[in-house]
Amino acid sequence: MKRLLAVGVVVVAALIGQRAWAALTAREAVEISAPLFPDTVRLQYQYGPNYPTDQAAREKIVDEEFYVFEQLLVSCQPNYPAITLQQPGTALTPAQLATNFQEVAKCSYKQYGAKPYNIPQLVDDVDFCGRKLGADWRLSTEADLASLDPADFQFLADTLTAAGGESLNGSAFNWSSFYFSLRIYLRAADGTLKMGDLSPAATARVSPLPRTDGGAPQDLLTGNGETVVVRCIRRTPLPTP
Amino acid sequence: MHKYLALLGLLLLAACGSRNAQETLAGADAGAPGALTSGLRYDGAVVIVREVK
Repeated sequence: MKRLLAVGVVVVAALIGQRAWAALTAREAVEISAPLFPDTVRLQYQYGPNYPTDQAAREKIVDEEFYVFEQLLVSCQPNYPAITLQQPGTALTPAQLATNFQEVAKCSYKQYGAKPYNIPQLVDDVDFCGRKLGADWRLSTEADLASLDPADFQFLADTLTAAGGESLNGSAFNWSSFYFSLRIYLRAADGTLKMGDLSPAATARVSPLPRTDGGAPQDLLTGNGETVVVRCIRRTPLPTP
Repeated sequence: MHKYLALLGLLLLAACGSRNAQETLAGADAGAPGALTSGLRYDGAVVIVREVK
């Protein structure tokens, strides 16, 4: 009986220890998507007085006039042969991934006329991230940015810089501004839509959308010099190592 | 005898659970779609694996 009790104590202690260790070493994966790309040639007919009054029409705009990165990999590849499309069961090298990123950035500008334009009311009304990337993706919140460390922001910037965005703070290449932008649409703590800044050196993580023209939310936001993009976020708890 | 068998079973279950979790992570190539290892991914996302504080 004593031996059984001793074994039980050891097992319980081990389980408790494992849980305590897991709590101390909890990890997560934070995924920050590439910007969702607006087809501004089509979007220019949807804003202001043309902004739809019914939700189905708004969702149709998001479904049909915004492209995810992987769509552009495929549609750009014929004219940008440096793009390597991933085949099932194979993984690309970091150099190939970086080249893909640069080529999509170029293609989005040269082939699709990338402009950092969007309709804030549309971002507010439609679940961009859920519709384009899946139900567990969402807009970043003020709490998300507050929970990330300086090292996380630095890693994000370094990764994009290594992918060819050598000019995160201004560029001689117009094509670099959209895909490398760290200014994002964000859901603020008060529920409103604001601009988040993922830059390592940001002085303010959250600020009003850069609109100084007095425009309404259903008007086109051109950014007033800021490239504000829809990057989505997904946070996943990971098993302890 | 039964006690020891039960204990052994418990330990095996715990070990299998841990091993499965590690293989799931180790089996994901860094740049592959859906991979949860830090870095740039095929879909253009940047993944940051971090400790939760």
